Amino acid sequence: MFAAFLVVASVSLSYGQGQPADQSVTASIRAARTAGVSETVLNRLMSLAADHRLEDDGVVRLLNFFQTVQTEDLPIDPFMGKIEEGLAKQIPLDTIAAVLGKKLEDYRFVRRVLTIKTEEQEISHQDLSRMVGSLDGGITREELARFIQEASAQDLSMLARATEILALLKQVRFNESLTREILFTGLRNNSLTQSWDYLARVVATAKRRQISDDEIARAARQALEANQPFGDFMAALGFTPRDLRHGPAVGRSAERNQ
Amino acid sequence: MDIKRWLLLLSLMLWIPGCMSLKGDRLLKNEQYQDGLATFTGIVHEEPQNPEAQYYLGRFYLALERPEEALPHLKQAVKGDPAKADYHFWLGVAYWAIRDFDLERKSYLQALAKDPKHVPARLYLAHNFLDSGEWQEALDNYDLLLRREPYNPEALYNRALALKELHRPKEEARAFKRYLQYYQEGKWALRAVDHLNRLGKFSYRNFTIGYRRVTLEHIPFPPGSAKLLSQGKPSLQVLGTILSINDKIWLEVVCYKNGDPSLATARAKAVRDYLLQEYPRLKPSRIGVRGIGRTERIKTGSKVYLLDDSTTFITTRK
Repeated sequence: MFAAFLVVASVSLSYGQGQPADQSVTASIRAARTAGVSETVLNRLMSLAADHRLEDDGVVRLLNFFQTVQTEDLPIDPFMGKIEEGLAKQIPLDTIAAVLGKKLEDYRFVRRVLTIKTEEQEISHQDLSRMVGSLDGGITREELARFIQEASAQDLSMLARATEILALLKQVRFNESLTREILFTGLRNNSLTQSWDYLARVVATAKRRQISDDEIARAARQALEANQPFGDFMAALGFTPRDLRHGPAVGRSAERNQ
Repeated sequence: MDIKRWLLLLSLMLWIPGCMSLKGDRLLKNEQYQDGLATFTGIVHEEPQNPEAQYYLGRFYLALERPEEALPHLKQAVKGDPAKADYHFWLGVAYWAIRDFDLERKSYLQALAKDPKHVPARLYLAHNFLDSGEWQEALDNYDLLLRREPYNPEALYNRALALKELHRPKEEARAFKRYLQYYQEGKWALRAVDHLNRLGKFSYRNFTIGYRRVTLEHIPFPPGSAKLLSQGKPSLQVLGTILSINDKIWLEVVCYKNGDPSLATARAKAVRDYLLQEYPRLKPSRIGVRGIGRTERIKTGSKVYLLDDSTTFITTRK
């Protein structure tokens, strides 16, 4: 902890072309730390600031932003990711800040919707991020709110998965009403498990094979209602299996079954 | 000695050529996936640059159905030793497990570029084409594989499916028959027969004997005769075995011969006699016979087929 503190302290002194950091930067680091922002995050941010020669006021802006994120108990990583991506692409800080602001609003929106739906139920940062990610994936806030309101929310991880799939199926232009039927079936039966994460990829391939949306939805509903493995759904659409343990049986000589 | 030193010693021992693969293969073969995971996690920790260790760790993750964790290790294995076809192949399998069919295909192609005789990669490449609806490419790859492995069941069955999708019904029927020539048990045999019957081919049929659906080959007789030919005997042996195992099943043998009810009855009796002779413990009362002097009418899908000459089996008690 002390070593990390030294790193942040030294970076804060040197990030701006070897000049001592502005008092406001030091104060912002202190405030962010007090709010609970981790030393790792502060180190990463200060390193980025040094690498990309950010002005003091830009650094203060980002530090204050992280303080807000931390205070509101939101995940920091997605925001840090956006900053890193933006700086790597040499996007102006004002534009990055606007993106961060919009993302923060998305998080607040999803949390509000969830609070209305589930009241006190805790949601993990990971699940919250998945739901927010669905907004980046092409569904509107209104669509997401409506979906969450109408869905069963016994298991928030499953609900998060459902919102992600909702966006992905929209991207592959799968019938929206059938999408809702599939996802509500999975949520109602508590069967939309991790193995369904890649549903949209299978749907996209099935559609390329001219399998209709109705047929895909029928197979998915059947599998979800019966709590069958995802592989059964794929088999129903004519996908061939793979053996993850041994690979295919090869080298056998045929024995006539008698 | 502390755990770290033990791990180091183990990793040094496994560096001896062949030792690591022996250990990894043995654990995989014995399905000791958790043990394998623990062992190779330690080795990879000590030797992250060792592609073989990365490969086995990836395999154990994959066997435990954790493909997301398998992928980075299999990628490392490929990066560390790109000449190994097996590494590319298993990376492809991991991509399939996360349903990334494009990268799956690329990996199999890489494996085949390193080793054109790599049978598993050829087979799964063909599957990948089939899943994507690229029927001709699937067929070509199944055919390439069957030159090396003429009895591979997955290739035999799926090439018939590819021919179905290519609308080549004569070849499709031949392909399903070829599959059934070697494999007459299990769900794929049942499905192959359903496909054949849909095409109006009844050299194989599925019957429900007791609670089980089984595939039986046509029971042939010489023209105008009730003498059983040897070709039908294997199917009757399947029936006899089921009746021997489950004495609650009662069966009726029904033969059709259009315009000749007495020949039909004689044939049904010949079938029963054969069963009683081969399985002397069967009570004669459990096997009834009936001869019908008209065509058998079979409906498959929207089509109706009439068979002049056939033998069927009906469970009368179970």
